[in-house]
Amino acid sequence: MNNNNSLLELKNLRTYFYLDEGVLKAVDGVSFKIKREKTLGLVGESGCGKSVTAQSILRIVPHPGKTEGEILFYQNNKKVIDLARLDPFGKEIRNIRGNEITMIFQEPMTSLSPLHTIGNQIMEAILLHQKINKQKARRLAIEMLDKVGIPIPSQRIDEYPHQLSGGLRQRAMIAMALCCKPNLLIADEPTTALDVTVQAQILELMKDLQKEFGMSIIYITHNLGVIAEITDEVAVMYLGKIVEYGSIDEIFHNPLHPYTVRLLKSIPKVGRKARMRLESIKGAVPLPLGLPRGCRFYPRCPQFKEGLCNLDNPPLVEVQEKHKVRCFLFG
Amino acid sequence: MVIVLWAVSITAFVIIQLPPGDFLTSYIMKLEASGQIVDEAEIAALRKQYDLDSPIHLQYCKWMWKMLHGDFGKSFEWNRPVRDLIAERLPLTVTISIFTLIFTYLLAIPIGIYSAARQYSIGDYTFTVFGFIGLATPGFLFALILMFFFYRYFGISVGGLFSPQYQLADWSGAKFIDLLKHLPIPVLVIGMAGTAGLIRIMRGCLLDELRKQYVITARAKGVSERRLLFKYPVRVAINPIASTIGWLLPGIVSGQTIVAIVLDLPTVGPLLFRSLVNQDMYLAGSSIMILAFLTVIGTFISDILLVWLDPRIRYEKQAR
Repeated sequence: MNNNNSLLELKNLRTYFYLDEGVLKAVDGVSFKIKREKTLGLVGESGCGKSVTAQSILRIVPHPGKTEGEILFYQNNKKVIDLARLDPFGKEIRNIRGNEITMIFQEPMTSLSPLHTIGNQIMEAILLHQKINKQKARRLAIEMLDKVGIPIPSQRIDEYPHQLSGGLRQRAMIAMALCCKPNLLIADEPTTALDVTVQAQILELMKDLQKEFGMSIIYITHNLGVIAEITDEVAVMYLGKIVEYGSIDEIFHNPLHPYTVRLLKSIPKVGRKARMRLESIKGAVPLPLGLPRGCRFYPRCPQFKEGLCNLDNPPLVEVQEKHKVRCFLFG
Repeated sequence: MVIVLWAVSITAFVIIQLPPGDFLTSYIMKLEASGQIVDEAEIAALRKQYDLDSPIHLQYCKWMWKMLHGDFGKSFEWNRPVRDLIAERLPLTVTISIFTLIFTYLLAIPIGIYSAARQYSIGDYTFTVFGFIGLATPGFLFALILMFFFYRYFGISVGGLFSPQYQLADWSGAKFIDLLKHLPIPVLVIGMAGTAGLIRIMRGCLLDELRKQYVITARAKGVSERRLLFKYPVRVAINPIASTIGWLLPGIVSGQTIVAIVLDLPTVGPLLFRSLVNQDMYLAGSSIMILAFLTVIGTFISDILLVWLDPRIRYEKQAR
């Protein structure tokens, strides 16, 4: 079963939030595979379900949310675990969280506890998952801080988050996520809150560490430039569904889905005529509550066909090897 | 701190002077009401004795000067030095306050944590209902109800802090145990509103914190739910609680006045109340000063606690 070197495989993942207003289908039938030591990019506008997908994998979806489907995790010892079946508060999933699968978050300002030193918070992860004593854990934490490029780590380890700059905090977060040498790192917009130069440094750092530790990365962002920089394959999400999936070259040079095409056109490029307006996609992402029939993108789609797009939901079809798209225009 | 106390002393003095007349007017009225004839000369002598005719600022300066030397003046009504009167009651007041404070925190913090961690559960709703009842019931009413029930069903008289046989006795082990026996009801009554309020604060703060990103980070690290709850959000949510000590302390002292009158407790509250009614100015002024002093001390304690609890405050000086 694990012939193609997969690490994680989502099959028809659905995470619904049961609210008073109705069922909010944040993630609605997402399937993809992540190979070992590769990077998958998840792209989409705000509210398309990227983050919830990540939370579903770690089973930390907030309260009224429920996760169904399969999340197959191929562990090192050839065992396969369906994470979707584990008790979200149980011991088994806790042993995976922070150990084999770890996560970095968007806002380094708020994702560290303000009242504990970064050393305390990093060592907590180490002590939870490794059977070593405090001194060793501390040494390991200092080593990790050094690895992520924090200067004078033996001093920084005893500092509080508010004493560090945003970039350093994010580095500390990465150190925390990597201290147990995970197989999979989920990065949920880790550079969005940082300024561009720091962003580039963090991306470089993540690429280096990926090579060193041999881990896979799921990189979630709405920044296509970052995706081009770091990923091998890209999944474009829209309203809880993957609308296009393919290798990085295919997506950038041969985008098929009208949504992907628009998305790419909205990136500013060097060398383009000045004073030209950037193209934008009309409208905003609707709330996935009581969605209309048909393709989810049709109300905003410029190539919308009456009597087709508004009646049925298009399937995800493989147009080429390693390039799938969910649109009636193809296939 | 000193400046605050000084400002308070002026305010206290002005407030006492505000109502028309002074102690002598009410004293004369009392005498006249009982049919006695008041001798003009006698009044003049009294006025002179108490310095009631000199200008206000002079009166104030004299009062302050004496207070700095430990002389709080003389109570007109009791005809005794104010210092003795307060010294008699202050230790008991402080005892009750401290017990109430401990009771409040011991009860409110765990319940607040429980309510937040199990939001919208049956337990949460139950505590919420009790909390609102506790907040809305006036203390004296609760005191009366408790007194009635205890008297009716347990045959215990709950008025006062001591049984009659110990009332005038010197301090002894037996008297202390007697005091402990009498403490629960006043503590319960006085602490009730504060507890109910604190539960709401604790629950609110904790709910806020539970939604913060760092809680999710910790969960993503694989920390168990229980440890997660106590290590991070509870720790942060305790801070606002610590800063409430400042107003809780004087609140308990003054809030117990009515309850203390109903329960006949020998504390400062009723003393202050009576002195205000009778315009017994030195007693009233000193009591208010002591309340203010407690407030300042309370605020000071909570500031120190906060510095100890929250590194963000601790390091501010070094960072700049």
